[in-house]
Amino acid sequence: MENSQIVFFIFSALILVTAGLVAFRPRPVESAMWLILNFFLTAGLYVLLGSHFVAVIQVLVYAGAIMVLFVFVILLLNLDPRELGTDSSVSWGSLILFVAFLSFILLSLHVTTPELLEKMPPIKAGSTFGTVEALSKTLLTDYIFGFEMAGVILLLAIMGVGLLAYRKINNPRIVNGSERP
Amino acid sequence: MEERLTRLESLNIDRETIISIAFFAGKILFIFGLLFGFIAPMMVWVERRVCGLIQDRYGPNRVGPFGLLQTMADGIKLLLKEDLRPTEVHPGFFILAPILAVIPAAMGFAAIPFGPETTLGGILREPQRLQIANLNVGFLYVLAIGSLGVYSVALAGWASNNKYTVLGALRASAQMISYELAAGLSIVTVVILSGSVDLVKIVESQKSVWNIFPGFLAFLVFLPAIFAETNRTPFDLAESEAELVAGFHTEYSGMKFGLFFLAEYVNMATVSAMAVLLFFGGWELLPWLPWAKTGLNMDTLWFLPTIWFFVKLAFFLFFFVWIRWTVPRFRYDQLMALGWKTLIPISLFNMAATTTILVFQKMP
Repeated sequence: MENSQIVFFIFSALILVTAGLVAFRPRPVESAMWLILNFFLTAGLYVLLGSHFVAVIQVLVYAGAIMVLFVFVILLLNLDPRELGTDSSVSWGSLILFVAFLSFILLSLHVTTPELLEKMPPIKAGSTFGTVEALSKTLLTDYIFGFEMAGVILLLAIMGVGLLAYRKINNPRIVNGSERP
Repeated sequence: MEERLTRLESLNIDRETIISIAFFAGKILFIFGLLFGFIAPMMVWVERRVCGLIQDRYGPNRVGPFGLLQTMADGIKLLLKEDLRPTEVHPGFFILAPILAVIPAAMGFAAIPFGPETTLGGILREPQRLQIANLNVGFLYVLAIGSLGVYSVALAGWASNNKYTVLGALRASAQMISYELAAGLSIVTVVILSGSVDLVKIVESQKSVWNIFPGFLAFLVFLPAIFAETNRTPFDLAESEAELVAGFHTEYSGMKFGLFFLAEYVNMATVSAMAVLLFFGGWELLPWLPWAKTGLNMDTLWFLPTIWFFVKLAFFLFFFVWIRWTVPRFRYDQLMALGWKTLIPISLFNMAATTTILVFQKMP
């Protein structure tokens, strides 16, 4: 077995373990912390594949921005541990459904992967694959339409949030951000 | 004869390997020794002495010459203190938080280059970079690691089970997300100007003109953003002792508090290095005079640019301290308004304007 394969299996095993911990830890903050570790390990997989840019973006966007918001919301809600209960809230029915769905996906991947691998162009040794330059060139030439569409969709989402947040200020019952009694 | 020659050749290869390993280990030892062994302790002393100077009093001047050993005495005190753990804290995260403060701080500096490519005066066969980790993602790595510092503050606040610490943690996380955007956008402007994300190439592109001149607006956004990112006055709302006791680290004492303290200074060093590399020409001598034009033999005097880089870094570290004891703390709504309503629009406008100008310049 090659060294990179050993590293891959270690990372994958840890990803599965941390994902399980995200689902089964009773406290939301603990789940969030395991999820951050999970994102890091996934970034490690990207590095193994040679896509350093995607790995860094994974850490920057998911671990550095989105999860900060999650933790922020958890801190704001400040849930009482008695309200949450000590047992995990996952019921057996949903667990069985999840495992069945997951095995279906894995099975279909197992069937289709060899075919997809044949279609993939081979990566030349010493190519610039995965670097910022190569990725941005591909994004802005071959995939310009999809790239710009993603930008427009994100802009729409931002504008939607702005609209929802702005409406409240026009409410005459709200002064300086807090509602009048 | 034949046998001896092959043995000599194998020895020769071994020597090369040993030198490259020693070079790599030397870089790591130099950077981390300098950060944790010199910059951080010196900065504690400088902070207190400059504070004394600005407030017209002495500051620490009893332990050692000019009070230089004061930090060492404080460090010994912090290490020998009882390791207190309040009863109602979350046992795991309470310990994890200070560790999470130091690790990203140390990791961030690993991608900072501190000199041009050099052979160390002929010791190395080929010129090599004075940088611990040469990543093709460049500054993005420093940003990504820097954005993780917020977890130590958030966890420390949450795990302490105290309303003041939770408030401090809340403030810190909101503040860091907001100012990360402004900092990132202003760095993007620099990347557009220099045409690379690699920090060494960004410095090389500043040989004739430092980025501070075309990118002055970007620097105006970057400067407050790095103060907010490192939780320094006038943006240290996460600790603001007048309202929140000591903010997120209220329940910490001994070396656990010491680690937060250490991480703050190491983070300051990292963002100062970023400011020097992105806007002030890195290790280049003067805006109009790069090292190559001085007429000095840079092969033998290879250490001069590195020393000059750390001199610039030291100025920025001093600037942090200077600002801290001069500018009063912002109110929280002022902080948020400055971040979202001033800095982000300015940096967005600046990015668009810079791109437009560059596109028109390059048009035939």
